[in-house]
Amino acid sequence: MHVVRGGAFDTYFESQVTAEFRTGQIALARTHNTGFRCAMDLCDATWINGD
Amino acid sequence: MTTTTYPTRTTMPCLICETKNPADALLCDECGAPMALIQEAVAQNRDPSIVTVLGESNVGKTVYLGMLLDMLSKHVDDYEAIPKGAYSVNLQHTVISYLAARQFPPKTAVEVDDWHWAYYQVSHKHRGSSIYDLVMPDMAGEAIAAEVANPKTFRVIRSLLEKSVGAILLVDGALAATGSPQPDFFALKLLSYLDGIVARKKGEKIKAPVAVVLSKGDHCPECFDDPRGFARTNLNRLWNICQSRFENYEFFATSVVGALGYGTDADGSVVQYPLHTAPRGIIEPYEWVLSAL
Repeated sequence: MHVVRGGAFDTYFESQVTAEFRTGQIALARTHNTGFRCAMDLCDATWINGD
Repeated sequence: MTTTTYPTRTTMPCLICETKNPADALLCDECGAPMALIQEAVAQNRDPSIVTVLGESNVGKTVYLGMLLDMLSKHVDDYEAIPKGAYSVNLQHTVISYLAARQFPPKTAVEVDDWHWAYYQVSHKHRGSSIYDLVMPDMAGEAIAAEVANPKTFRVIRSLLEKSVGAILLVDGALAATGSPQPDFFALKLLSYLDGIVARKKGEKIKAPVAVVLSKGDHCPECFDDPRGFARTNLNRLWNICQSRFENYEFFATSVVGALGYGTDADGSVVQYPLHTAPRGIIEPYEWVLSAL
């Protein structure tokens, strides 16, 4: 099982929607409410493109 | 629907089985239903519509019903639900308290006098002025199974079904998705029992709306995409009896829990924990039953 941080748009309880909240999903789970947001553009990741 | 005028004398008929009881009785002597139901019905001066939630043990009836009532109370989808009597709130209170603490509520007791009964006045803000008085008991799955196997074991169940204007049948979608025939057979037995009670004439299809709800959808996301297709494939016996004996039925998928964790209790038994609550498909079956009334 992997850690999922924070709540989602359909989290029911206010206590479970905070950024500190931790829940989990099995590694291969595909759900409609678990995702990620990019914190940086790919072009800014200089260690990847070698610049 | 006709309105019954209830006598305000020293005895009162039970709302469910119509047995006369002393006016100050708390529970019906015959079937164990709370007499507060009839007192509320007298105060409303109109017959309530009884919608029964059915399903086998461990299918999730208590959690579904508690979550449904809580969402209605919170005016989700512009529904308004007002509990009639404090006893009506007990089920929703119990379920929400446990889920918020990341636990499942305790199993519903088999004894009728330990069941939660919910009596709510429900309306929709933007769909005319129709008000539904809904009575929804949270019955123990073991009691339903006993009644289906040996009719009249739990008279209250038979009386409830005879009086119900619609039913929500919960079927374990997660178990069905693993290929187990158990949910299919139990649902078949239940609908066959219902058919025997409700059908007026031989060969006539049952008109009361029946919403078949595939529970634990978080374990089988495919049942949300096409509940009918899922039922046709994984619950074929149920699908066939719906087609041949029921005029008004629909399939839905639902889930309350977003993710499950597993642990062990003091006895070493495996216990499931709801890691977070993300309800999906809760209102839709209920909305459909109301629209079909």
